[in-house]
Amino acid sequence: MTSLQPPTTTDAQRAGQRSDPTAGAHATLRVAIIGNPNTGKTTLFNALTGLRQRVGNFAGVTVERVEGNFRGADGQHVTVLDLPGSYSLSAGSPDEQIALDVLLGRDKDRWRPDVVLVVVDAVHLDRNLFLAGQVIELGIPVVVALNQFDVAESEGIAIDVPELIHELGVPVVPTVAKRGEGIEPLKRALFIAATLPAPTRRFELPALAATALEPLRQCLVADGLLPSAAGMEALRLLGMSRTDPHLAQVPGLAEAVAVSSSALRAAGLVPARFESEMRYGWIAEVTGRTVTSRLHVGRSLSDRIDAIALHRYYGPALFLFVMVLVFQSVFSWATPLMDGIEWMIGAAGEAIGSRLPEGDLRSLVVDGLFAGVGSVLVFLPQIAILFLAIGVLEHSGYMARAAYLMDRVMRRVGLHGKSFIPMLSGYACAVPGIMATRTIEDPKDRLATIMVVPLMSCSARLPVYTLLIGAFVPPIALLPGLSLQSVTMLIMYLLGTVVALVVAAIFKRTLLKGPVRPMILELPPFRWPSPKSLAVSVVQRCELFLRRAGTVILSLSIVLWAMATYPKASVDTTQSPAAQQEQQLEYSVLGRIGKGIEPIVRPLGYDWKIGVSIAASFAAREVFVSTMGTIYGVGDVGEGDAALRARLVRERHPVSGKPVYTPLIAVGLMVFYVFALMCMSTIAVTVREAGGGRIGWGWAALQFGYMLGLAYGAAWIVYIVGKALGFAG
Amino acid sequence: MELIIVGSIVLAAMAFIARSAWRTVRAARKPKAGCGSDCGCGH
Repeated sequence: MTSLQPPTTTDAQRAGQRSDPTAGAHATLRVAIIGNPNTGKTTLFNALTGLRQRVGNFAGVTVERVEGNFRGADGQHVTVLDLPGSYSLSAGSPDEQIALDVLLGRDKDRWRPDVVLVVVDAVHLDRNLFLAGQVIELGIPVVVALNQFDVAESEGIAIDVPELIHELGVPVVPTVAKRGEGIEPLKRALFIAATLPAPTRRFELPALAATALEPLRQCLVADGLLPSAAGMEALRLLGMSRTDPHLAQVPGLAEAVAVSSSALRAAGLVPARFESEMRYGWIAEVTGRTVTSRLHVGRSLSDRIDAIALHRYYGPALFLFVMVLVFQSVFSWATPLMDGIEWMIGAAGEAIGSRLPEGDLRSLVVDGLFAGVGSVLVFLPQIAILFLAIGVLEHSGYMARAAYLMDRVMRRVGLHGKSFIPMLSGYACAVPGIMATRTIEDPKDRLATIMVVPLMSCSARLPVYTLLIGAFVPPIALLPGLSLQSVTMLIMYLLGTVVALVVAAIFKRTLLKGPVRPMILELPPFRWPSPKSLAVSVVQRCELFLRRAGTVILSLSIVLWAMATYPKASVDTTQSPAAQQEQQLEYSVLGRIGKGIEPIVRPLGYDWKIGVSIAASFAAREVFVSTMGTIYGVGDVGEGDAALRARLVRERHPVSGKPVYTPLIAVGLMVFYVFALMCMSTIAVTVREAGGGRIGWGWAALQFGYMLGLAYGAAWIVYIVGKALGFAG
Repeated sequence: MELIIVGSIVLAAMAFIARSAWRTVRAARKPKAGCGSDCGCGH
């Protein structure tokens, strides 16, 4: 490939007219990164700052501002702000609005950048230059990173970089962010750009149009915008609908837009199309002078894969096959590792416990910490494998194909096809899934998606499913390499997805009625996932899981142990040790609460221990497993296998002697967890993303209520129908 | 002595849970970038 050279600055210096008086005046250089979705902005941000923000091969991974820092060669401090991807500054969706507000200095909580780094995809320069052209007019020094330069070269696209610098009037640096190529020249270019005059518009408006726009431009300057930024904003506002919130905020702005629009129409121009026509005309001239492309003969490998992956019939079949493969690998690959961790935790608990004298402290360590937190920690291998699989799907570009495949289904539901990407993100965690809805323009579509994202089975449900499936679903092979356990897990994930679509359809036909909009989705080319990026994302997720286990789950385990231990009962010593332990448990605070809850959960076939574990898991779903671990740890009298799965299988009702946990109870419990919203963080993010205040709390309460009702109703139906079919309850 | 140690550990755990719950509620009330370091989502 072409060597990545530092930019020349002569043309950039020649281009500017005025400089931002604030540029270079700070001890810290403040840089904002912006670009079209999926151009590698976050990869470049990570390469610049050494951070490990989430990246993926599909549009809409970054939906909010993220800050990082690095130091230049002379030690100068640089703060970098990664903005959400935008195709333009037209601010159609909330994530695009974030970017526009920062660049125009309207974001009160965020600084205005000294330099804007525009990341453009070298393969699709024509499309990317629309945004670059708008940013160049903002009156802020600009550097353009020509990213994925290697891919452009491999596809026969040659870009004349010096000519492009001349055309844009700003430094242009070719980069390959994923390999760290061009990063040092880029850093130097940022410092150089900060000392240069700000660039200005690179094309001339027709004289009649310039005159027509003048009242609008003057109005924006009076509102505090720099003259150059006012020129860009005037063009942008002409293409906006009359509902743009900014029009109502500035006195006289709506009138100025109307006056300028009328004047443009009188000059024979169409205001709504005017900006697009001017910019695309300029882009065609620039790319004509700077880009040469060899014609492709035949289809690329990505096209050939898409012929199957996006096929009307083969596509959904392939999607189902991929999902089955993911869940089969979660079960079959993780088992030996899980057994190993289980053994290590058991051995460590025994070793530490044997060194402590008999008493409450020993019980706290063995039954509270090791039994509680340890029962959650054993699921680490499955979390790692699940996120490895999600990472492969995200980084390869298959995630965007899945969204495309689901578009027809989403339309029937009444949702935008884009809604499926937040829903897919919900498989990892509902919080980023809900935040990813910022890419959806229509507020009603966005709200409907927020309301159903928590129905997608997140990774916190995985320990609950795995515990119950591992204990009560036999590992029967249905087909070679396909077990009943993995199919059961797949059914739980599909159940959440299907019900999410049904609930979304109900919302879109009642509270959130609105038209169905067509989806425009960029399908990125298939890429081999980078092992380093995959490793980083899996390690990050494992770290988060361990941190959560070591903080929230650990604290809850300690408190639940205390609740299961105190107050002390005066037990009948003539009874068996097991009966004495049971008597103590029932006398404890936890036992009393459990007995109070029991009438509510009894119709579902659950005893008080399951009831209190469900109640505790309203803080976080994994706490169900740790609470069970603590309850059975405290109640354990040391018979047989101490592993929680084995304890559940051999647990008997003290009076009837029947098993407390049957396959029917396990399925009912899993169904309950598919639907119940048991995550404080999800509730908090719903409040915020649904508008905050009373409105946000109202939507969050509705979400919590309908999901709890759904969970209870579905678990009850499973129990009743299962018993009617002759399954032991 | 054992009761004091156990009591201190349990009180510390309760304080941590209360702090986490308060932070979550505060995050919902006051919009900010990201959802906090302790929500578990990685953002």
